[in-house]
Amino acid sequence: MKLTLNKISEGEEEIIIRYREMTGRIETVIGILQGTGQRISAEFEGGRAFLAPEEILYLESVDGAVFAYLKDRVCKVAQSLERLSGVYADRGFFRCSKSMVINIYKISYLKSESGNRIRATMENQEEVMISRRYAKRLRQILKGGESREPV
Amino acid sequence: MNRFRERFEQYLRREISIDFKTCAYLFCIAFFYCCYRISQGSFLANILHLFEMTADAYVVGYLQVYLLGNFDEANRLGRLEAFGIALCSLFHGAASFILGWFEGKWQVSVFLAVFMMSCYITVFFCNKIKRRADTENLNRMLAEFKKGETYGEESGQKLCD
Repeated sequence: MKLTLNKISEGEEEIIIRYREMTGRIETVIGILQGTGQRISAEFEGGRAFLAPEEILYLESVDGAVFAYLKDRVCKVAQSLERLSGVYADRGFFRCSKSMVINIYKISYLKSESGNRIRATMENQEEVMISRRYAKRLRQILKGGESREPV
Repeated sequence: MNRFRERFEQYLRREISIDFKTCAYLFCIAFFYCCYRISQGSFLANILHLFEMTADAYVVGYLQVYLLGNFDEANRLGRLEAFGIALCSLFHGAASFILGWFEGKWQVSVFLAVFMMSCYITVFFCNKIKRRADTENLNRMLAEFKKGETYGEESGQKLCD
């Protein structure tokens, strides 16, 4: 993406975004500019960072701690799965089991399994099995027949 | 309480699945039995035999779900699935011979076992085709869902307002 910065001496400051297609990246930039970009505080080995929900592939709860899996790294998140799946439901966060929340936008492939279960392959090739109970809700969300708000 | 409810629901789902299987395979056995009776020039079926067939289908249904990994719904036809199909088919054949459904004719019992084997394989492939169609549908819905988030020109303007 080409970035052009022009320093002006007078007049109103203005930001123009020229895009062919609205992507998650541009959406994040707009969110930051409008002051609405939600960020998730996370701990890395080297320190702390604020993650955009679009960066997260899935979240997993292990021994009471919640970990966010990004494309190339894992970090610890302070918020609970319940809260994250609730707050970011409209950004594609979906509770797929008791201990996991996946980002629907980061699913690369879905496979129907026996017993009405679904196997989701994430963008990092990690496979997540969605049980019949949660699979039913995922189908409803994909069909657009259900609100993305958690039950 | 929730855990109990979940386990109970899981148990119920399994039982219903066994009932469905029993109905499907009982129909296959009864069809074979009726064909045999007609080939013998008789249009009458022994009610006791029908009860025995129901019991046999139930027993095999439980065996299939609880011990043999529900082979007709498996993802691939491996060794374990082939073993399950062979064992259940042999069970039907043996039951028909022991209980005298075909007047003790072992050849017909062997034929029943082969017929049941073909039924299991057919159901396996039907389930596989069904899942493949469902997979395609799921991925189409996923693509449409993702596309839904690609804003058009109007939405873009709205965002920038």
